[in-house]
Amino acid sequence: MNNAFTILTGMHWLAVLLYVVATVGNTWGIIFQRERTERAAYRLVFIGLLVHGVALLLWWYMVGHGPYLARYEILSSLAWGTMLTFIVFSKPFPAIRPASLLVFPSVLLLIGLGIFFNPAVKELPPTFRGIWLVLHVVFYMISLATIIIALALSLGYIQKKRTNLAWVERLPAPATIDLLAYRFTGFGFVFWSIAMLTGAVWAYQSWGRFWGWDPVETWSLITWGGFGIYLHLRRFFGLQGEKAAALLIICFLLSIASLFFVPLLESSIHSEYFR
Amino acid sequence: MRFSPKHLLTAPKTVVGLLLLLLCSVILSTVIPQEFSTPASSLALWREAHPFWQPIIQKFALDRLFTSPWFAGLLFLLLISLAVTTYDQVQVSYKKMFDGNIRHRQEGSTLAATAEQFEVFSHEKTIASALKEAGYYKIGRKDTADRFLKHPWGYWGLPLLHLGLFVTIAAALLLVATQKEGVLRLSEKETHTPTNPWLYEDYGLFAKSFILPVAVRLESVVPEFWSEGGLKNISSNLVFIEPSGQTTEMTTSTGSILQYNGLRIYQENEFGTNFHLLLTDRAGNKGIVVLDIASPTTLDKASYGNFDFQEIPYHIKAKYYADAAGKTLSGNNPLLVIRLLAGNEVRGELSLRRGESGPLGPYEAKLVEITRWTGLIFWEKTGMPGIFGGIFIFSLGSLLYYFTIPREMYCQKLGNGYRLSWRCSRFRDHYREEYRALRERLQGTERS
Repeated sequence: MNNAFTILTGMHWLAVLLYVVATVGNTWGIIFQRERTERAAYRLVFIGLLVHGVALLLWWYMVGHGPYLARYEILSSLAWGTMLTFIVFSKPFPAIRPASLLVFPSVLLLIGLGIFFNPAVKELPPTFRGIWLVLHVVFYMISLATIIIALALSLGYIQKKRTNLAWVERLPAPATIDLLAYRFTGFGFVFWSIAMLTGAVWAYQSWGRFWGWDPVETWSLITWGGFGIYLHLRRFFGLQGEKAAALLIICFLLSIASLFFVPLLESSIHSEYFR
Repeated sequence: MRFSPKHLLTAPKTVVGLLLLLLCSVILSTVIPQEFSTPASSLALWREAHPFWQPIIQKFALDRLFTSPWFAGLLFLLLISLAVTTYDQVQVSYKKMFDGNIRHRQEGSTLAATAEQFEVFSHEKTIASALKEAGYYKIGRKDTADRFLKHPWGYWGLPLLHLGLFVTIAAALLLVATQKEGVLRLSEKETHTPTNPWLYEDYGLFAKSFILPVAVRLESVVPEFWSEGGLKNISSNLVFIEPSGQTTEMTTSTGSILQYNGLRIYQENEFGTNFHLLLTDRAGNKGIVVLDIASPTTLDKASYGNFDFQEIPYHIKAKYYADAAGKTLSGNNPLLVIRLLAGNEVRGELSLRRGESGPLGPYEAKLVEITRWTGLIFWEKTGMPGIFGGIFIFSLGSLLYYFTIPREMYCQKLGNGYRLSWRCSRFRDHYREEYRALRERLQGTERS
């Protein structure tokens, strides 16, 4: 077991190293227009994802449950999910690649925080099991990943509007960035909804109710409502530009609070999560 | 500007206003403790600490917000708005899918200005084949133009999204109005008959009190623990006793729903031990008190309980360890430690295992019986499939709306060639590259 932990820790650090080099290379490539460096950074990201993914699978095998209970495993799997989601979406939407300037460091921050928290093995409470729980967690992770991309685009939009730096000038047109931020918020909303659906099925199987106004549920609904209002305002009231970006930043902060802070502050059926 | 009730209900301002009001209500529920989720003692303390707000809270039922008439009213308004919006959007989507977005005025007229257009001097079949390869399928003919569509189901995103929300809210309201739920805490070998009261009961506005059609006996509770400690699972063996006397034995466990004659039974994630303590005073009077303590989840930590009984003028503080030998959490040999208090003065202290006895202040105490207890939830609910179906429809609708963007191409004969008009219903900027590639390809066929 100790050997396995050593290997696992080593793999995690290797992934961190790969992500660090990729982040530096990617930033260099975007700012100084070095396409080869940028491409090399993406290759490193692929290798990092592979190493990181194997480490997570090994962890899953060792602790006997998915990475969705302790802080270390949640943050590490979220980092992996965010990177993978970004890579997957950057294929059909190549214009989001500059968002990597924020996404890659976010991934580093997540995995770094994960390692900072002691990687303790936590046993699953009786109700924390089943495929619906796995789907519930996975969809929240994908949702947060797309919201991070939308946030990066919104911040990029603000940067583009307010600065005249040469490398910022080379980013896609503000209207394109703004529209992408809108679309990715839509994606985040879709995945958040599916996460709530799967969570409702899980709750129904575990406690005989689909909704209980538990603090985590309530704040998740508030976040979902916030995104719903953002999307309505964009579609029907022509909200765009910096105002839309500002509202998205608020929604992003709401989502972070719902997923990571509410479970710590209030007692709930989710209280075993992220403790 | 029209001001019909329908227009008012479906106006974007109304919808956003309703959403904002609902959102604010939910946020308010996180600030003001709610009756259904807050222990009575905590609620009383909070009320005492915030006397200024009490009249407003009581007037608007802010401490039982989700069952208040005004909250139901908001939901009802949203429900009507969603119903009307869904109806309108189904019509719009049908029209978009089968009639097309681009209006043709007269034969040979130019197409709407919103479409991007180019001309090609190729054979019709070559154009159709190239469009098919790009995912555009011929749907029909509109006036003088052939109509090709890519991802036509994307038109159904919005109606499905709104329909899903409508179904979810309607089913949730139905469920809340008709549900019956009862919670029991049973000890091993204890029988709950239909006339016994519930530990907790909840029934909807249009439902009657929940009376079980059968008696239920808890035969045994079997907890399982992880090797490192911590509860892994709880199973309860139940016996259902029909009025005819016929019995059926079944087992329920955490996360596994037991169904019996239309009833659904859930295992609660809680169990503990009842210590039956026989107390004999100096005059020889005997009485049994039951100390009900939740189970410890690790071997080295005890669970605690405080008790006051009418039969004795003392306060009892008790704790117990799961196993007197410190070996197994799921064993049947707990160690009970009791302290008898008169005010703050300790009058007696005693440790007991099963069957043991000893002096406890003015009493002789004997641990005559140890049984486990656990919680069980029984319910009858209608509307659950509607809720899940609704959320599924909503999710499907939003997936279609954001992921499958319909694109249209009209192919209209114009002299010796064809005029192609392309239109993207939303996020057009994201598909301009596709349009350019298609245009280059088709114009390439013309050159070859």
